[in-house]
Amino acid sequence: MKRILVIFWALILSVAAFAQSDRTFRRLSPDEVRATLHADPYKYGGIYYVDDFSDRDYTPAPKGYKPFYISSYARHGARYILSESQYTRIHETLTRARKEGNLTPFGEEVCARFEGIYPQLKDRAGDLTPLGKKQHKELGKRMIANYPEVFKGAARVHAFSTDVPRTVLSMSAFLEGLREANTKLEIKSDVSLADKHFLNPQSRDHRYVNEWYWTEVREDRAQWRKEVFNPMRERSIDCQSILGRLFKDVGKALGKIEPVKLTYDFFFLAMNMTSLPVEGGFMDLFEEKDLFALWECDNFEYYVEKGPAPYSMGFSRALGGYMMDDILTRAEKDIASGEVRADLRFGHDGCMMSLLTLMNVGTWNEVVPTEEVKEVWQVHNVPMAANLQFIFYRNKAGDILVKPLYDEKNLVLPFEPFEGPYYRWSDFLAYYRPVTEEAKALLAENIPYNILGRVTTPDGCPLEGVGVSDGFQIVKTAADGTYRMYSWKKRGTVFVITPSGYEPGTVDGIQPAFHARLAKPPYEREEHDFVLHPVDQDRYSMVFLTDVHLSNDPTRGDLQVFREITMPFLKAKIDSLRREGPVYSANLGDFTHELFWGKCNYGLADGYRTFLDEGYPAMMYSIPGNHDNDPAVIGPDTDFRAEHIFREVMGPTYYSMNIGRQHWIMMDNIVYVNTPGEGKKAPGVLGARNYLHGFNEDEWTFLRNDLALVPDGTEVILCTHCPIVRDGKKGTYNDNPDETAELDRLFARFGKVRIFSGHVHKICFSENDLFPHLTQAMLPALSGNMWTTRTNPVLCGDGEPAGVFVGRFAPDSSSLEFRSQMYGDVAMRIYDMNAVRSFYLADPLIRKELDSYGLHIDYSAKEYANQVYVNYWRYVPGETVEILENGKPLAVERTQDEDPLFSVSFSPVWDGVPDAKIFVSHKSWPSNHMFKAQAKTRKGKILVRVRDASGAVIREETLSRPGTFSREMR
Amino acid sequence: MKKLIFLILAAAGFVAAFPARAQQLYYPPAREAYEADPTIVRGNYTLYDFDTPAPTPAPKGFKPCYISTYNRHGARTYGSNSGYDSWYAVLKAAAADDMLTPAGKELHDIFMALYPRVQLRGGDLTEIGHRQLRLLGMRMWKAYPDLFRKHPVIDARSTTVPRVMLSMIEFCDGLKTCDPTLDITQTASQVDRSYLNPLSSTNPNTIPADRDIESGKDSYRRAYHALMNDHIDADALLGRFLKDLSYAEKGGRSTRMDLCRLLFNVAVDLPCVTDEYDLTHFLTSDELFCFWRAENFRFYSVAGRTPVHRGRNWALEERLLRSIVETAEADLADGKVQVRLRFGHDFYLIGLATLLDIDGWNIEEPDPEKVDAVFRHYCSPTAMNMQFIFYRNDLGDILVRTTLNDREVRFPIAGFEGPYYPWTSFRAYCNSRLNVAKEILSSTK
Repeated sequence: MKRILVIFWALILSVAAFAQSDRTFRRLSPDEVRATLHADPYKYGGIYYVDDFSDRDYTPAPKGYKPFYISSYARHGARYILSESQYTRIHETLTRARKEGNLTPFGEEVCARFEGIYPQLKDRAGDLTPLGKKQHKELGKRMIANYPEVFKGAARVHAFSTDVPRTVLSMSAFLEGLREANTKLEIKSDVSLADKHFLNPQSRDHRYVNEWYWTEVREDRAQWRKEVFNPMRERSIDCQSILGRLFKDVGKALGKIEPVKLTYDFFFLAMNMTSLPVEGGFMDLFEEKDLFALWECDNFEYYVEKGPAPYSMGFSRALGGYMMDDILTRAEKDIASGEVRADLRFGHDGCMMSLLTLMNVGTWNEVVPTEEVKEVWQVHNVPMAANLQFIFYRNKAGDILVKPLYDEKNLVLPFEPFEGPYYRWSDFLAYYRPVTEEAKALLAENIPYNILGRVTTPDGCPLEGVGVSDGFQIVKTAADGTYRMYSWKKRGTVFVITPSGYEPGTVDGIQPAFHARLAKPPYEREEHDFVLHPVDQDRYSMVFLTDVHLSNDPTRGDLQVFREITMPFLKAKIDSLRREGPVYSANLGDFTHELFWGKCNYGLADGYRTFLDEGYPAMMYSIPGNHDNDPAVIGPDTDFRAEHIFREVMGPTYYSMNIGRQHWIMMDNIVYVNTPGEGKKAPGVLGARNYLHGFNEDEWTFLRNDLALVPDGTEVILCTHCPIVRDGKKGTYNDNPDETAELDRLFARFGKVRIFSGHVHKICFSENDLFPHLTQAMLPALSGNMWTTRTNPVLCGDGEPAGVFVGRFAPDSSSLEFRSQMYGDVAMRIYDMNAVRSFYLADPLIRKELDSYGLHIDYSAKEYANQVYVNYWRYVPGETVEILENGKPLAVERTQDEDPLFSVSFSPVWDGVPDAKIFVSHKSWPSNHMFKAQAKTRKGKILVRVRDASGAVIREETLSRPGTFSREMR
Repeated sequence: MKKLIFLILAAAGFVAAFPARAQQLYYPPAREAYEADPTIVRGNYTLYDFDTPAPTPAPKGFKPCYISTYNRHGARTYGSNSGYDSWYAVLKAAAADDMLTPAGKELHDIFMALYPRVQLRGGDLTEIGHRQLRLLGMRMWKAYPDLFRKHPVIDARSTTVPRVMLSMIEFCDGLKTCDPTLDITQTASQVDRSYLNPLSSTNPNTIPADRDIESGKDSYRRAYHALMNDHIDADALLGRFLKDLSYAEKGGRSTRMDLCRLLFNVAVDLPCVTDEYDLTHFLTSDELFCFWRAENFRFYSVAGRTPVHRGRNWALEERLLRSIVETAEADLADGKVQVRLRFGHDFYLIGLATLLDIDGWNIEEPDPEKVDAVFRHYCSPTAMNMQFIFYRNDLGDILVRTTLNDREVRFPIAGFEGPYYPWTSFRAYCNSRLNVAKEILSSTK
């Protein structure tokens, strides 16, 4: 270090001039910062710095003015290291490494050096050192020597200290300094929790303690640490090389200790030595670049915790308001009564920083980017025993001036002085009283709201008690309709949970305007208002669309089918429903298909555009499916980032709303993984497009918070893309079954919760006793099998014609009905398997399919002769299906055999078409609702009769045999 | 200076109202003592009695040369904020609903006036406490002016509790007011905790079970509650103030008796805060007496010669006594320090008196109902202190005189009447007591 000092001596001298000048706290250039620190390396220690205060100002008062009152705030004097655990960690790590032979030769030497002084350090962490006592005693002595008029005779002095021993003893030493000059002084010293808010507003036990400040600024889990501070430390501090000088195997030496923690222990040990009555030093553990990195991070941390950094939303600075409030209030009172001549406060470094920031002194209150913080903030400017003194002067006319001193140097305030370093008390009050009140008002809010707004009806009537969420927390609107919250804005959205009897307007006729995108950075305020329209929801309908899969694929002609068949069907259906009450629709995901985004130049926004262009007539609530994720996103936080297009086009990926008597929860349950470099390739695909079934942490948080506001017994409906309860079998689709159990537990309060999902392109109603509070409905895809069954354009994989389910909700009943796009309310298809056999024997396409792949059931086999298959897709557990031949019941068996119409309509048709490779699959589709019976004759008339759980006949359909079978059949 | 003299006179006048209580081997029945002096119920909140007897003159040729002390902090606001907070909440809620009796309204008005002055100040040293310690400091200087005129090296140590640190500061300021050139080292550090607070886990002699000494969870807590529950009707007490007893729940206490106990504590502590109000008249004399007996029993159970801790509670004070004896030995030998001041708490001073087998502090009584016949915690007033004053003659002979609350203490040391004992004999006596303590500590581990 010495050698470096010599080399740069000229530079040092050049900066010495400004380093010793008055307390203007001007901005330094990066070079000046480096030079200042380099000139006095103990300044790297920041608040550990010991200044000898030898450079002091004593500017004579303007003519006719005499000092009569003093108000001050001082940091305690030099102390031992902050916390005993620091000494203990150093001691234990070094001695353990020595025992294990894990010290380098340099480490051995440092260990011996430390262990030599450890007995003098042990149990003294935080204690005031003799030097600290001396500092304060001398401060006291100089104060009474410089301003004897203030301390004449039995002048009353009121001293206040925090409850920390070093601070109490600093106060005592200061008072000793006064006492030695005047034994008549009437000194009152106080240490009380009652005063702590103005002595240490950053503590956690004073009367106005702000929990938000603690959890969001001070604690390790604070967001800014994760986002900014921890990466900064990781980037700049080379713990491995610093600790590697001491330990052969750093990892072994550390054990469970964080590297940066132990590095700072050694750093502060080294920096603290100038305060101690102990010989020795540890500066040789560090190279200057290490010191600089450690200093810069430490300095930055103070800037956030105690200064103007935006991450504290002004709270760190505002805490200084309690201090300034006491300074102003007590001065006014004591000046007026003349009873107390000096109010002396003793506290801590961080509080001093908040106060200087609040006072807007020099660059203390400047907000700059992280890398420039060091130019405006240098915490070695709050050294041991740092002190701020306000010396009050008065003339015969009663005019009052105040002279601010920082570390006994004239301090420049941000307004015009009366003369030199003297300011008018009236100006001082005029400047700082409003600043103080503003700070107190900010803190009184308890939370620094960064999202706020109002929820009203279209005519401006406020709506009270409406939930508003950022995807995590839910706040409720006040009587005037306003809401406010502090949010990390992680999900980039704020949405209102519409109360029953209201609906949001729409953005464009389709998209409900219950949400807004957050536009500003997390540390800025933004306002979002919502307008809700009163509506009679006594009776309403919900149309479930799922797996629409618009692709603009010329091979399949999906858009044409959609325009010619699907959209007219939807319009007609919705129009007819509207006669009974409001109609809403739910898009349960997979609106388009990501493999065709690039291939067919048709993205999610285009799909949505098609809906708009075709005049889709209802409000549509959407959640994402797996195919709505951007397959170009890989790497960290893929699940969230891959949803960016969905969020932009359709809004939040999970939310809830109340409609009529139902509480609807719309949840994304795709945890997108997209393992890089694997899987099916298409333009814009960078990963395997794989995903897990379940909710992520954010989604669980919202769900729990949402349910907490729902009264017991409410009818709750959950919509997800992937089903949760398995189809007809025990178990769950969730990758972690515990999640489903947890969901079941959460839902227990509501009786049975219906889950509506898409994804599987088939109809299945399912429940099982593992999850007694869940009942699952898997809904048919609007696209059928993704618009692939050309002759029968919208057929689902398990045979039913594609369409929609419609939930119809009325005061005392609710029903679920199915409408196919082309054939109305059809519930089943009855196959005369003799006709199927004939087709299978004769059709070249199905023969080729069976020969080439062999994955499908060959229904040409003899065993199917005279059989009857009933694909009853409206099957609900509990129902019984009877098959009668000429009025005589046959033995009915439920089977998983695939649907013959679908089998002949899909893969065989596309065999050999090159453009179809991307979507064709030759696998078999097990059915969830297929029933079969062996008829006695070829021609006997078949009657299918369905009874519900109570035994009542709910459906009857007949088939005259011989029947027919073709690709074109219904 | 005039102000100071006034202060001293005021304090003296203030305390003159309370006659000196000589220590006796056996107390008269407690109830009798209470009838004679109702202020005994203040217990450890009793104000220090500055009206002290003149010291026995030192034998000819002996001059004070060394002082070693342990001082309890001065008067404080009732120990925890809950006392005031609970009653404030109860009275405020009941007042809002017009559920206070006339007596309740009177109590309410006093509480409302008092509350801003005591809020968040639980446990704080009060102005009276500040004055007490300053006065003790000044009195010490005035009692031994020759010693202090020689600019002795003064070493003061305090526990890290604010009221104790402030007590140390005031005591030292009292000395410095008499002579501002005195140099005093003040320390408040974890380093000294093991002997200033020998019941703390920093004392290496403690075992985990010793944590029960102050809490009494496993040993005497039940008997302590019984002393209240068997003799005091909490509902009747609360019924005098509240029209509806359910308002007692607003205090957030686990039992109604606990709320009543807090009123007692706040009432008997109030003279430490102010003499503008009196709260004791809200309690019947039976209630006051019975609460006092319970508190007295608690103190006995923590620091007295109770059988419940098998002697460990006072034997642990060995750490403090040993520190006093050993530092005295070293200081007298090397002459580096002449005045050693220690500041701490009542429990440890009572324990020290018990360990030293001082008359009145050394009687074992297993029956909780009878403890008030053998132990009186009003003898541990605010600013309680024990001083060991060492004297030397030209031949180098050393005598020790011990005072407890400025009253001379006599020890059962054969061949000497006291209060002056040869240091060698006194040290031997202390060592014998240390051996008793060590024996207890090792046999009860």
